[in-house]
Amino acid sequence: MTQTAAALAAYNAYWAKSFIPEANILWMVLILILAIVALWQARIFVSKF
Amino acid sequence: MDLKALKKQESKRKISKGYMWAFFCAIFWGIWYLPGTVVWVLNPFDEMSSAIAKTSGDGISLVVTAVLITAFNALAVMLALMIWNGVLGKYGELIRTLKEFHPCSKWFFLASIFGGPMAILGSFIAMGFIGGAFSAVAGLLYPVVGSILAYYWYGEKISKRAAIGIAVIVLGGISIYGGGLLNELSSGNVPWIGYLGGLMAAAGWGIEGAIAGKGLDIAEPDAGLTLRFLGENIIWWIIIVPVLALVGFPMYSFALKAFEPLTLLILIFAGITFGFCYVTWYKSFPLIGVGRGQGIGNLYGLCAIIFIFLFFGTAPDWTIIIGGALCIAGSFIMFTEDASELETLRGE
Repeated sequence: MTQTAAALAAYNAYWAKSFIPEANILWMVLILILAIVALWQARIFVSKF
Repeated sequence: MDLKALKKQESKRKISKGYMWAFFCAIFWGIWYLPGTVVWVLNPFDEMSSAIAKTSGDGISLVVTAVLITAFNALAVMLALMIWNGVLGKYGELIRTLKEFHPCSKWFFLASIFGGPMAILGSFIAMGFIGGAFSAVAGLLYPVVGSILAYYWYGEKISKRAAIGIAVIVLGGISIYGGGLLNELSSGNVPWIGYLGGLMAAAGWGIEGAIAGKGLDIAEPDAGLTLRFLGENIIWWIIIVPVLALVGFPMYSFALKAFEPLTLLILIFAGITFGFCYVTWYKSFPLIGVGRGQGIGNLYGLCAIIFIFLFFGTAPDWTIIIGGALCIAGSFIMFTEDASELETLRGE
Protein backbone atom coordinates (compact mmCIF):
# COMPACT_ATOMS: atom_id res chain seq x y z
CA MET A 1 0.00 0.00 0.00
CA THR A 2 1.36 3.38 -0.94
CA GLN A 3 0.59 6.50 1.05
CA THR A 4 -2.41 8.46 -0.19
CA ALA A 5 -2.14 12.19 -0.82
CA ALA A 6 -4.33 12.80 2.25
CA ALA A 7 -2.10 10.65 4.49
CA LEU A 8 1.06 12.38 3.24
CA ALA A 9 -0.53 15.81 3.70
CA ALA A 10 -1.49 14.92 7.29
CA TYR A 11 2.02 13.59 7.93
CA ASN A 12 3.70 16.70 6.49
CA ALA A 13 1.34 18.96 8.44
CA TYR A 14 2.85 17.70 11.70
CA TRP A 15 6.29 19.10 10.81
CA ALA A 16 5.05 22.22 9.00
CA LYS A 17 4.73 24.33 12.17
CA SER A 18 8.06 23.23 13.64
CA PHE A 19 10.58 25.79 14.85
CA ILE A 20 13.39 23.60 13.50
CA PRO A 21 14.34 23.66 9.79
CA GLU A 22 14.00 20.26 8.05
CA ALA A 23 12.27 18.95 11.18
CA ASN A 24 10.91 15.95 9.24
CA ILE A 25 14.50 14.70 8.82
CA LEU A 26 16.24 16.11 11.89
CA TRP A 27 14.11 14.19 14.42
CA MET A 28 15.42 10.94 12.94
CA VAL A 29 19.02 12.21 12.97
CA LEU A 30 18.59 13.21 16.64
CA ILE A 31 17.30 9.72 17.52
CA LEU A 32 20.23 8.05 15.75
CA ILE A 33 22.75 10.25 17.61
CA LEU A 34 21.07 9.51 20.96
CA ALA A 35 21.00 5.77 20.17
CA ILE A 36 24.72 5.71 19.36
CA VAL A 37 25.57 7.62 22.59
CA ALA A 38 23.42 5.21 24.63
CA LEU A 39 25.08 2.16 23.07
CA TRP A 40 28.53 3.66 23.70
CA GLN A 41 27.64 4.29 27.36
CA ALA A 42 26.21 0.77 27.66
CA ARG A 43 29.49 -0.73 26.40
CA ILE A 44 31.44 1.34 28.94
CA PHE A 45 29.00 0.19 31.65
CA VAL A 46 29.41 -3.48 30.68
CA SER A 47 33.20 -3.21 30.87
CA LYS A 48 33.23 -1.45 34.28
CA PHE A 49 30.47 -3.18 36.25
CA MET B 1 41.82 3.80 51.13
CA ASP B 2 39.93 1.63 53.62
CA LEU B 3 37.18 -0.81 52.76
CA LYS B 4 34.40 1.49 54.00
CA ALA B 5 35.58 4.37 51.79
CA LEU B 6 35.90 2.04 48.80
CA LYS B 7 32.38 0.75 49.40
CA LYS B 8 31.06 4.31 49.60
CA GLN B 9 32.86 5.27 46.37
CA GLU B 10 31.48 2.21 44.56
CA SER B 11 27.99 2.96 45.83
CA LYS B 12 28.26 6.56 44.59
CA ARG B 13 29.40 5.37 41.13
CA LYS B 14 26.54 2.89 41.02
CA ILE B 15 23.98 5.56 41.95
CA SER B 16 25.27 8.07 39.39
CA LYS B 17 25.07 5.40 36.66
CA GLY B 18 21.56 4.51 37.81
CA TYR B 19 20.43 8.12 37.48
CA MET B 20 22.17 8.36 34.10
CA TRP B 21 20.21 5.36 32.76
CA ALA B 22 16.96 6.72 34.17
CA PHE B 23 17.67 10.04 32.45
CA PHE B 24 18.40 8.27 29.13
CA CYS B 25 15.06 6.51 29.59
CA ALA B 26 13.28 9.87 29.99
CA ILE B 27 14.84 11.28 26.79
CA PHE B 28 14.08 8.21 24.64
CA TRP B 29 10.59 7.94 26.09
CA GLY B 30 9.89 11.62 25.40
CA ILE B 31 11.09 11.49 21.81
CA TRP B 32 9.10 8.28 21.18
CA TYR B 33 5.95 10.44 21.16
CA LEU B 34 7.04 11.86 17.77
CA PRO B 35 6.88 8.57 15.78
CA GLY B 36 4.15 7.34 18.15
CA THR B 37 1.92 10.27 17.14
CA VAL B 38 2.63 10.55 13.39
CA VAL B 39 2.20 6.83 12.71
CA TRP B 40 -1.57 7.26 13.27
CA VAL B 41 -2.03 9.35 10.12
CA LEU B 42 -0.08 6.98 7.86
CA ASN B 43 -1.50 4.08 5.90
CA PRO B 44 -2.51 1.38 6.51
CA PHE B 45 -3.50 2.63 9.99
CA ASP B 46 -5.38 5.70 8.70
CA GLU B 47 -7.48 3.67 6.25
CA MET B 48 -7.90 0.85 8.78
CA SER B 49 -9.35 3.29 11.28
CA SER B 50 -11.77 4.72 8.68
CA ALA B 51 -12.81 1.27 7.44
CA ILE B 52 -13.59 -0.07 10.94
CA ALA B 53 -15.31 3.20 11.96
CA LYS B 54 -17.87 2.72 9.15
CA THR B 55 -19.07 -0.58 10.61
CA SER B 56 -18.19 -0.47 14.33
CA GLY B 57 -18.03 3.22 15.24
CA ASP B 58 -15.16 5.62 16.01
CA GLY B 59 -14.37 4.34 19.51
CA ILE B 60 -13.90 0.69 18.56
CA SER B 61 -12.01 1.60 15.39
CA LEU B 62 -9.47 3.62 17.38
CA VAL B 63 -8.94 0.84 19.93
CA VAL B 64 -8.54 -1.86 17.25
CA THR B 65 -6.14 0.34 15.25
CA ALA B 66 -4.21 1.02 18.48
CA VAL B 67 -3.85 -2.75 18.95
CA LEU B 68 -2.25 -3.18 15.51
CA ILE B 69 0.03 -0.15 15.98
CA THR B 70 1.10 -1.44 19.43
CA ALA B 71 1.77 -4.91 17.99
CA PHE B 72 4.01 -3.43 15.29
CA ASN B 73 5.67 -1.20 17.91
CA ALA B 74 6.50 -4.33 19.95
CA LEU B 75 7.93 -6.04 16.86
CA ALA B 76 10.12 -3.00 16.08
CA VAL B 77 11.27 -2.84 19.72
CA MET B 78 12.31 -6.50 19.55
CA LEU B 79 14.50 -5.73 16.52
CA ALA B 80 16.07 -2.73 18.29
CA LEU B 81 16.78 -4.86 21.38
CA MET B 82 18.43 -7.56 19.30
CA ILE B 83 20.81 -4.87 17.98
CA TRP B 84 21.36 -3.60 21.56
CA ASN B 85 22.15 -7.11 22.84
CA GLY B 86 24.32 -7.85 19.80
CA VAL B 87 26.45 -4.73 20.32
CA LEU B 88 26.87 -5.61 24.01
CA GLY B 89 27.57 -9.32 23.29
CA LYS B 90 24.60 -10.49 25.35
CA TYR B 91 23.10 -13.25 23.15
CA GLY B 92 24.52 -16.00 25.37
CA GLU B 93 23.05 -14.35 28.46
CA LEU B 94 19.74 -13.99 26.65
CA ILE B 95 19.51 -17.74 25.98
CA ARG B 96 20.59 -18.58 29.55
CA THR B 97 17.88 -16.31 31.01
CA LEU B 98 15.23 -17.68 28.64
CA LYS B 99 15.99 -21.25 29.71
CA GLU B 100 15.61 -20.39 33.41
CA PHE B 101 11.84 -19.93 33.30
CA HIS B 102 10.99 -20.56 36.93
CA PRO B 103 13.45 -18.23 38.67
CA CYS B 104 13.86 -15.59 35.94
CA SER B 105 11.84 -15.38 32.77
CA LYS B 106 8.43 -15.89 34.39
CA TRP B 107 8.75 -12.41 35.95
CA PHE B 108 9.51 -10.81 32.60
CA PHE B 109 6.64 -12.58 30.85
CA LEU B 110 4.36 -11.40 33.66
CA ALA B 111 5.74 -7.85 33.30
CA SER B 112 4.92 -7.97 29.57
CA ILE B 113 1.21 -8.46 30.34
CA PHE B 114 1.03 -5.25 32.38
CA GLY B 115 3.45 -3.29 30.21
CA GLY B 116 1.99 -4.27 26.83
CA PRO B 117 -1.78 -4.78 26.66
CA MET B 118 -2.31 -2.48 29.63
CA ALA B 119 0.27 0.34 29.59
CA ILE B 120 1.43 0.71 25.98
CA LEU B 121 -2.04 0.12 24.51
CA GLY B 122 -3.45 2.58 27.06
CA SER B 123 -0.85 5.13 26.01
CA PHE B 124 -1.71 4.71 22.31
CA ILE B 125 -5.44 4.98 23.12
CA ALA B 126 -4.82 8.22 25.06
CA MET B 127 -2.76 9.48 22.12
CA GLY B 128 -5.44 8.59 19.58
CA PHE B 129 -8.44 9.91 21.53
CA ILE B 130 -6.97 13.04 23.12
CA GLY B 131 -3.44 13.78 21.90
CA GLY B 132 0.30 13.17 22.20
CA ALA B 133 0.97 15.75 24.94
CA PHE B 134 -1.90 14.46 27.11
CA SER B 135 -0.81 10.86 26.63
CA ALA B 136 2.76 11.75 27.59
CA VAL B 137 1.84 13.36 30.87
CA ALA B 138 -1.09 11.10 31.79
CA GLY B 139 1.23 8.19 32.56
CA LEU B 140 3.25 10.31 34.99
CA LEU B 141 1.44 8.78 37.95
CA TYR B 142 3.08 5.40 37.39
CA PRO B 143 5.95 5.79 39.95
CA VAL B 144 3.32 6.07 42.68
CA VAL B 145 1.95 2.64 41.78
CA GLY B 146 5.46 1.20 41.30
CA SER B 147 6.89 2.52 44.59
CA ILE B 148 3.93 1.38 46.69
CA LEU B 149 3.94 -2.10 45.15
CA ALA B 150 7.73 -2.46 45.53
CA TYR B 151 7.44 -1.35 49.19
CA TYR B 152 4.68 -3.80 50.14
CA TRP B 153 5.90 -6.69 47.97
CA TYR B 154 9.63 -6.87 48.64
CA GLY B 155 10.27 -4.09 51.14
CA GLU B 156 11.97 -1.55 48.90
CA LYS B 157 12.67 1.45 51.12
CA ILE B 158 10.68 4.63 50.60
CA SER B 159 12.36 7.51 52.45
CA LYS B 160 10.45 10.57 53.64
CA ARG B 161 11.95 12.56 50.77
CA ALA B 162 10.91 9.96 48.20
CA ALA B 163 7.39 9.96 49.67
CA ILE B 164 7.21 13.78 49.34
CA GLY B 165 8.33 13.44 45.73
CA ILE B 166 5.58 10.92 45.10
CA ALA B 167 2.97 13.21 46.72
CA VAL B 168 4.01 16.11 44.45
CA ILE B 169 3.66 13.78 41.45
CA VAL B 170 0.13 12.89 42.59
CA LEU B 171 -0.75 16.63 42.75
CA GLY B 172 0.60 16.99 39.24
CA GLY B 173 -1.53 14.08 38.07
CA ILE B 174 -4.64 15.68 39.59
CA SER B 175 -3.88 18.90 37.70
CA ILE B 176 -3.37 16.98 34.45
CA TYR B 177 -6.63 15.01 34.68
CA GLY B 178 -8.76 17.60 36.50
CA GLY B 179 -7.96 20.58 34.27
CA GLY B 180 -8.43 18.74 30.99
CA LEU B 181 -11.56 16.98 32.18
CA LEU B 182 -13.17 20.27 33.34
CA ASN B 183 -12.49 21.86 29.94
CA GLU B 184 -14.04 18.95 28.12
CA LEU B 185 -17.01 18.67 30.51
CA SER B 186 -17.84 22.31 29.83
CA SER B 187 -17.70 21.70 26.08
CA GLY B 188 -19.96 18.65 26.45
CA ASN B 189 -17.46 16.38 24.74
CA VAL B 190 -15.70 13.95 27.12
CA PRO B 191 -13.45 11.34 25.48
CA TRP B 192 -13.67 8.98 28.49
CA ILE B 193 -11.85 6.21 26.68
CA GLY B 194 -8.83 8.51 26.25
CA TYR B 195 -8.72 9.14 30.01
CA LEU B 196 -9.12 5.42 30.62
CA GLY B 197 -6.12 4.90 28.32
CA GLY B 198 -4.10 7.33 30.44
CA LEU B 199 -5.03 5.48 33.63
CA MET B 200 -4.16 2.14 32.00
CA ALA B 201 -0.70 3.53 31.17
CA ALA B 202 -0.07 4.76 34.74
CA ALA B 203 -1.23 1.55 36.45
CA GLY B 204 0.34 -0.79 33.87
CA TRP B 205 3.83 0.73 33.93
CA GLY B 206 3.81 0.96 37.74
CA ILE B 207 2.89 -2.72 38.14
CA GLU B 208 5.36 -3.73 35.44
CA GLY B 209 8.21 -1.89 37.20
CA ALA B 210 7.54 -3.64 40.50
CA ILE B 211 7.42 -7.07 38.82
CA ALA B 212 10.58 -6.33 36.82
CA GLY B 213 12.34 -5.25 40.04
CA LYS B 214 11.66 -8.73 41.40
CA GLY B 215 12.95 -10.46 38.24
CA LEU B 216 16.05 -8.27 38.16
CA ASP B 217 17.11 -9.62 41.57
CA ILE B 218 18.54 -12.58 39.68
CA ALA B 219 18.53 -11.66 35.99
CA GLU B 220 20.53 -9.26 33.89
CA PRO B 221 18.50 -6.18 32.68
CA ASP B 222 19.40 -6.30 28.95
CA ALA B 223 18.42 -9.97 28.66
CA GLY B 224 15.45 -9.60 31.00
CA LEU B 225 13.94 -6.72 29.03
CA THR B 226 14.34 -8.57 25.73
CA LEU B 227 12.38 -11.49 27.20
CA ARG B 228 9.74 -9.06 28.43
CA PHE B 229 9.27 -7.89 24.81
CA LEU B 230 9.32 -11.48 23.54
CA GLY B 231 6.38 -12.02 25.90
CA GLU B 232 4.63 -8.90 24.62
CA ASN B 233 5.06 -9.98 20.98
CA ILE B 234 3.54 -13.37 21.84
CA ILE B 235 0.57 -11.62 23.50
CA TRP B 236 -0.09 -9.37 20.48
CA TRP B 237 0.73 -11.61 17.52
CA ILE B 238 -0.33 -15.02 18.86
CA ILE B 239 -3.26 -14.07 21.09
CA ILE B 240 -4.85 -10.63 20.62
CA VAL B 241 -4.44 -9.97 16.86
CA PRO B 242 -5.73 -13.48 15.89
CA VAL B 243 -8.66 -13.13 18.33
CA LEU B 244 -9.63 -9.76 16.82
CA ALA B 245 -9.32 -11.27 13.32
CA LEU B 246 -11.62 -14.15 14.37
CA VAL B 247 -14.14 -11.64 15.71
CA GLY B 248 -14.22 -10.12 12.21
CA PHE B 249 -11.83 -7.17 12.20
CA PRO B 250 -9.55 -6.94 9.11
CA MET B 251 -6.33 -7.30 11.13
CA TYR B 252 -4.24 -9.38 8.72
CA SER B 253 -5.20 -7.56 5.53
CA PHE B 254 -4.13 -4.23 7.04
CA ALA B 255 -1.09 -5.72 8.82
CA LEU B 256 0.26 -6.94 5.48
CA LYS B 257 -0.19 -3.44 4.04
CA ALA B 258 2.11 -1.96 6.71
CA PHE B 259 5.15 -2.96 4.65
CA GLU B 260 5.38 0.45 3.03
CA PRO B 261 8.66 2.47 3.16
CA LEU B 262 7.49 5.52 5.14
CA THR B 263 5.37 3.48 7.58
CA LEU B 264 8.24 1.04 8.15
CA LEU B 265 10.69 3.90 8.68
CA ILE B 266 8.47 5.49 11.33
CA LEU B 267 7.94 2.10 13.02
CA ILE B 268 11.70 1.47 13.08
CA PHE B 269 12.31 4.81 14.82
CA ALA B 270 9.47 4.06 17.23
CA GLY B 271 11.20 0.73 17.94
CA ILE B 272 14.62 2.32 18.55
CA THR B 273 13.27 5.00 20.90
CA PHE B 274 10.92 2.72 22.80
CA GLY B 275 13.33 -0.22 22.99
CA PHE B 276 16.23 1.90 24.20
CA CYS B 277 14.00 3.79 26.64
CA TYR B 278 12.82 0.51 28.13
CA VAL B 279 16.25 -1.11 28.37
CA THR B 280 17.72 1.95 30.12
CA TRP B 281 14.67 2.00 32.44
CA TYR B 282 15.30 -1.63 33.43
CA LYS B 283 19.04 -0.94 33.84
CA SER B 284 18.31 1.80 36.39
CA PHE B 285 16.17 -0.40 38.71
CA PRO B 286 18.94 -2.54 40.29
CA LEU B 287 21.13 0.57 40.72
CA ILE B 288 18.74 3.08 42.32
CA GLY B 289 15.54 1.09 42.99
CA VAL B 290 12.19 0.90 41.21
CA GLY B 291 10.68 3.99 42.89
CA ARG B 292 13.57 6.32 42.05
CA GLY B 293 14.18 4.81 38.60
CA GLN B 294 10.54 5.41 37.76
CA GLY B 295 10.60 8.85 39.40
CA ILE B 296 13.50 10.11 37.28
CA GLY B 297 12.17 8.27 34.23
CA ASN B 298 9.12 10.46 34.80
CA LEU B 299 11.03 13.34 33.27
CA TYR B 300 9.80 11.84 30.00
CA GLY B 301 6.75 14.09 30.44
CA LEU B 302 8.92 17.20 30.22
CA CYS B 303 11.01 15.69 27.39
CA ALA B 304 7.86 14.81 25.42
CA ILE B 305 6.44 18.32 25.82
CA ILE B 306 9.78 19.83 24.70
CA PHE B 307 10.16 17.49 21.69
CA ILE B 308 6.50 17.93 20.65
CA PHE B 309 6.86 21.70 20.99
CA LEU B 310 10.13 21.80 19.02
CA PHE B 311 9.24 19.38 16.23
CA PHE B 312 5.45 19.78 15.93
CA GLY B 313 5.32 23.42 17.02
CA THR B 314 2.28 22.82 19.24
CA ALA B 315 2.16 24.10 22.82
CA PRO B 316 0.18 22.00 25.34
CA ASP B 317 -2.67 23.44 27.48
CA TRP B 318 -1.67 25.34 30.65
CA THR B 319 -3.18 22.68 32.93
CA ILE B 320 -0.92 20.05 31.35
CA ILE B 321 2.11 22.34 31.73
CA ILE B 322 1.38 22.96 35.46
CA GLY B 323 0.73 19.24 36.06
CA GLY B 324 3.88 18.28 34.16
CA ALA B 325 5.93 20.84 36.12
CA LEU B 326 4.67 19.42 39.45
CA CYS B 327 5.51 15.88 38.35
CA ILE B 328 8.99 16.97 37.35
CA ALA B 329 9.45 18.83 40.67
CA GLY B 330 8.48 15.60 42.45
CA SER B 331 11.06 13.68 40.44
CA PHE B 332 13.77 16.19 41.38
CA ILE B 333 12.92 15.95 45.07
CA MET B 334 13.78 12.25 44.76
CA PHE B 335 16.83 12.92 42.58
CA THR B 336 18.44 15.27 45.13
CA GLU B 337 18.18 12.72 47.93
CA ASP B 338 21.32 12.11 50.01
CA ALA B 339 23.37 9.25 48.48
CA SER B 340 23.71 7.52 51.88
CA GLU B 341 19.94 6.89 51.81
CA LEU B 342 20.44 4.75 48.70
CA GLU B 343 23.29 2.54 49.92
CA THR B 344 20.78 -0.17 50.72
CA LEU B 345 17.64 -0.19 48.55
CA ARG B 346 15.68 -2.73 50.54
CA GLY B 347 14.57 -2.60 54.17
CA GLU B 348 15.96 -5.04 56.71
